Amino acid sequence: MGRALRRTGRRLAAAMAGVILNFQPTSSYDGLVVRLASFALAEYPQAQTLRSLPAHTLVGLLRRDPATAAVILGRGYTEIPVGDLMAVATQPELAFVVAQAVSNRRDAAVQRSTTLYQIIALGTRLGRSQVIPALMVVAAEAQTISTSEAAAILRTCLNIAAQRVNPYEPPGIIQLAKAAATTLLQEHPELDGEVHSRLRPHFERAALEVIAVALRARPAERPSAVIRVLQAWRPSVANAASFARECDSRSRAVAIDALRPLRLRPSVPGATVLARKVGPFLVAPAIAVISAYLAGRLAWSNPPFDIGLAEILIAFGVLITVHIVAAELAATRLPGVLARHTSFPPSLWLSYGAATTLLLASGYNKMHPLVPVLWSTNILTALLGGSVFLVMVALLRRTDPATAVEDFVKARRDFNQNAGSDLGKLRRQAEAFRDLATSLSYVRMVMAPAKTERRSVIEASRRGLFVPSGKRLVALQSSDFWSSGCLAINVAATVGVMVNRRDEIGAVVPDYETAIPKKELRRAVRVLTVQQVRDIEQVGEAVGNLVEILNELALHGNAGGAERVGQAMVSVLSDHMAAVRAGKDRYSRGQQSVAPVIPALKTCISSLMSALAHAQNRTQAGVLVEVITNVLRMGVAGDDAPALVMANLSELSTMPSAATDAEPLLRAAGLRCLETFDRLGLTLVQREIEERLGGRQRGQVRSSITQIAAELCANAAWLEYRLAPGCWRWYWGATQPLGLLMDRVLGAIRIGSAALMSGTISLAVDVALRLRESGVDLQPPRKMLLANSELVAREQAVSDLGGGYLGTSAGDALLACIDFCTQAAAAIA
Amino acid sequence: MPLRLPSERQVDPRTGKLDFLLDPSPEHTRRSGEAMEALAAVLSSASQNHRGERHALVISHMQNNGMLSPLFYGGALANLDESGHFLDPMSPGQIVQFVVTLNQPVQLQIETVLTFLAQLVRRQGKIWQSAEQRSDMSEIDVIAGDLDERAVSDTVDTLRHGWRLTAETIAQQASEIGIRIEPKYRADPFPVRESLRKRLPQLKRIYNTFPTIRDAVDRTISAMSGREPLVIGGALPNAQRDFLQQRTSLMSVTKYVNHYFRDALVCGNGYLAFGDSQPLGVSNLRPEDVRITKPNEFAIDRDGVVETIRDRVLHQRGLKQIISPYGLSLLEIFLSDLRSYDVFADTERLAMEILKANSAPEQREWAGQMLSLAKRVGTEREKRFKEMLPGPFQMPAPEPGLFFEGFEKY
Repeated sequence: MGRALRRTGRRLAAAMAGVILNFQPTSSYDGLVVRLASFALAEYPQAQTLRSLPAHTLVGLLRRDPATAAVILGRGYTEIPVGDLMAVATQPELAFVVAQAVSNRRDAAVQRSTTLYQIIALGTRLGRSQVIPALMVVAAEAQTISTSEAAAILRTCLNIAAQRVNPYEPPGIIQLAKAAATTLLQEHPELDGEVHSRLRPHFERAALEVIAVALRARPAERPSAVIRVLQAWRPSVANAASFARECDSRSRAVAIDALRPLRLRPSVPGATVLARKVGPFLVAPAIAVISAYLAGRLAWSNPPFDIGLAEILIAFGVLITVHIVAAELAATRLPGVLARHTSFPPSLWLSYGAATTLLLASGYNKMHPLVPVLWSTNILTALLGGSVFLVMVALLRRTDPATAVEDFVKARRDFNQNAGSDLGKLRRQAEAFRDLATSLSYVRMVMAPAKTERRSVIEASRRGLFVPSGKRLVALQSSDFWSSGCLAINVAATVGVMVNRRDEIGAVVPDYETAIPKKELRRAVRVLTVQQVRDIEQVGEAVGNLVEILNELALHGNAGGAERVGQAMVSVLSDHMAAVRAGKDRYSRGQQSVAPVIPALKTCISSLMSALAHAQNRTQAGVLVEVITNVLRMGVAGDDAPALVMANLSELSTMPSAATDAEPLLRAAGLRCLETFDRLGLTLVQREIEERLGGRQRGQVRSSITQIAAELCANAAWLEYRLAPGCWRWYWGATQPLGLLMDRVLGAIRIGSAALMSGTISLAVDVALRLRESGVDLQPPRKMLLANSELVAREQAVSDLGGGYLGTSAGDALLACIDFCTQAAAAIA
Repeated sequence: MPLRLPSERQVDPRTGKLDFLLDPSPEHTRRSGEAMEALAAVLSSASQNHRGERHALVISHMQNNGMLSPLFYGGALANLDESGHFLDPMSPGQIVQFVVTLNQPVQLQIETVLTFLAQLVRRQGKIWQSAEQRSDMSEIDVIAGDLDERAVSDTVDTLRHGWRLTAETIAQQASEIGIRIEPKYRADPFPVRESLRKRLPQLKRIYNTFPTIRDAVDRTISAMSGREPLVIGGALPNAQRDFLQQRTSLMSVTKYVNHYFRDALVCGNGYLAFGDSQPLGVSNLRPEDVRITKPNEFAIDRDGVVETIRDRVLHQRGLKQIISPYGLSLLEIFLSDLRSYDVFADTERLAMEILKANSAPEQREWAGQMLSLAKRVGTEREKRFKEMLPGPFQMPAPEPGLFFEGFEKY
């Protein structure tokens, strides 16, 4: 809206300046004209040089002739011949506005084409100052220039582009000529021959550069155009690779935005306790007071029942029995943290509140028999009955483990977030301490405690996160012992990670002539503090418990229930990890740092992978793989989720059935690494694939692994240009033991096809060269694809399931790649 | 390179590397400065108790950007006169300039300065002694190595009693050879443009003369910007992204950026100016012409005529200084190698002439020894280059055509 208003304002300013220039031939309004013109020109950043001219120069130009004023103000030039418009360009500052005006003259395309030809190719017009705007117009409107004139212009542009560039001089006509030549080649593919003729026998680097860049904008016929260039040039392998790299479009197909990004939801401290415990407990006393007040105020008659102490005690007993039975039931069915939660629903707090209030009200009534109090006891009895019923309903509802888990996760959301936030904060503190430690002369960070020097050992006083105090460390230097170098403090490098009680976390080391004073030792001990982080550990425990339930449900074939539990678990992790990141960012100085893996994520993946290793049926394995895939999708780069999965997966490779079940994880982890540019994770995925290709498994397994490896590279061409070449080289090297098996060759063709479709020409050329180098004959796969429609259909299905890397017509894509490889291999020397 | 100092054995377990701060915090910088000032004060007060010829020493800081070895703790800088010729830092009236790597722990910085001083005192004592006695210099490289080794051992031994005592011991050793050290701490070795400008011709000579150095610099540039950058536009429409990607390639942005990085690494400061007249229209500014007038404000200063640059300018420093906006060349620490190269080139030329001429046997023997010494020093120099720049040599070979045609060297 604001932008549109500004644009309208600028048009109005230009119109007003034009009116003033027409009707005020004197200089009285020149100041205003300059301001209006400057405001109008602010629309274009490229006109900055014109705007920054001195006021009198700008006015001089505006008053020079109507064509110049029209061009500068960007209005009223539609009737002026193109040649006259070009004649306005007498100085460099006017080049952009002239080009802009001439480009907008779509009504005079033929006239414009001829004028541009005359200026650039024939050089017959006013001079060099017009060539720059003319080149700008060619770059913008190349499609409207006739082929014969375009060919002549292209020749001149290529000649200019071949001149030597001095990097310490402002960019000039050479760059513009390149841009114009590129656009001409983009819009007139028939002119490619002009470039071909400059590649051999006399090679012109600039011509090659121009056509390479132009081909990026010609996706449909790019492969054939590349082949024509190679055939005309006959380059060496290195030169062909370099040219192909210049042709790469470098597009990335990763999602622009996640639909549901991880974010931290706000929480109020203590809200959960209030809503689930204190609140329900206080309902009964509140009702008792209100009912007594109303009974007194409205003078109600005697209530129907007189509740005695014995009845109340019996009700209390029933309540306690229900509670014990519920707790027993939960403890036998569910793991610890969940059982505790399940056996104590809010309705139970309500019941206890009602029973306790009833007991007090009854006692009060014995001492002071009053009608309103009697009414309260009656109402409280009804409330107690109702609440016990609610307890029973809640317990029955939670006999379904998935529902119990969902309730649990919902109730613990704040807890998980707060624990994550604390962990993030502690990590930041640990990183700040590491930075600080290197700036103090009396501190040494040690990887392991040195046993070979005289020292006073400092041990962890309890289990927790080792986060020493930076302030106390700095305060040590107030004593000469530390500042003069007599004492030094060794700090174990386990800062920021969990330590156990009695672990050696540091030491005070005196120099040769110093004894350690007790006071200084105490001060040093106070520096090395260990933070208790039970909450953070409980999140990990809860996640472990949820995996246990999930696994149990999946084992017995309850896939739906198991998936519900899996979703709930992912939600726990997601909240917790978002809070860790937010907590860490809040305290960070904005620099990226290496941090240990989040404990809950590590527990989650280890438990899931362990469960997968011992999966007893396909349903169980399928559910577990699905949940692990969801965990992978949730993570961002730096969480190291793919690396954790791969680390655990390597252990599974010893179990053939589990290894087969886990194969989809290789694909999911690999794709996630490509999407998040996770080099480490990708390397681990590749290593795992190599391991499986290595020979332990045979036949079908090896074939499917080859397919996954090829899919990974094909997707890399689409998702991450920077990783694609390395990924392909890895594929070809890793599958070397397979020799020239059709699976391997077909995988290479798939990768080449994806590369051609995604515009990664360098990858396609490399595929062609490697296949040639290995002596692969591409005719058999070509014949197979032409003859075997089942194979084509299978390739289409494989591509669609693997991300659609071969587009909508897999057969055509594969055949195009085979043709490209054959022709490229023949054209390259 | 590794000196076996008490603090140099500590490693960061996260990375498994030495305790090296890639980006030292302001707090670390402040504390490092305070520590160096304290060291200078102790040395100065210890020197006052001894006699000898006064000799100024300036200790400064330099920030390693990760290209130099993390095992490089500090070194002496070459002295140049106004016309860029080398001077002997130990000659009367000259100042010895020593830079310490800011990225190292403070304790290691102190130990580094003390070790350097111990080596300087021993070497200087030997040089003067040899000059007096007209000793044979054909084994000077071996002798210097032995002296350095002994100096390190002595310093490490004395450091057990604290660095203050070590500083006092070195001051006493200096007085024994007739030097009274007058140290001073100055945060930046070359805070102003003029002091850097006179060094540029020799720094460019290093790049042009030593293929190993040139290879290391080119490999680094190739790894940083050797290939066309990837335009990533988030929600930018594909058409616009592709247009920008095309323009990036056409305007040879990569080559301009390569020159920019090369100027930064070799000359200490690289400048890239973005003009308004063309999209992605960039050009480099000659480091010797640029004056930084204010933060992010640059001017061209040619023969005293200053012209403010209106274009947006990117400034890249080779090695950072603490206060000065100007950077230091990565090759500063190799100026002494260039000096030794020049000396030995002359000696070799003379020796070859002697061998070609029908000279006396003792002259021929001397020429043979000198040629052998020059060869040994040359081999050591190459080894030192590779040790000091380990990172670049782990990178792939440089891409072809990194720079504009005709500008492959300075």
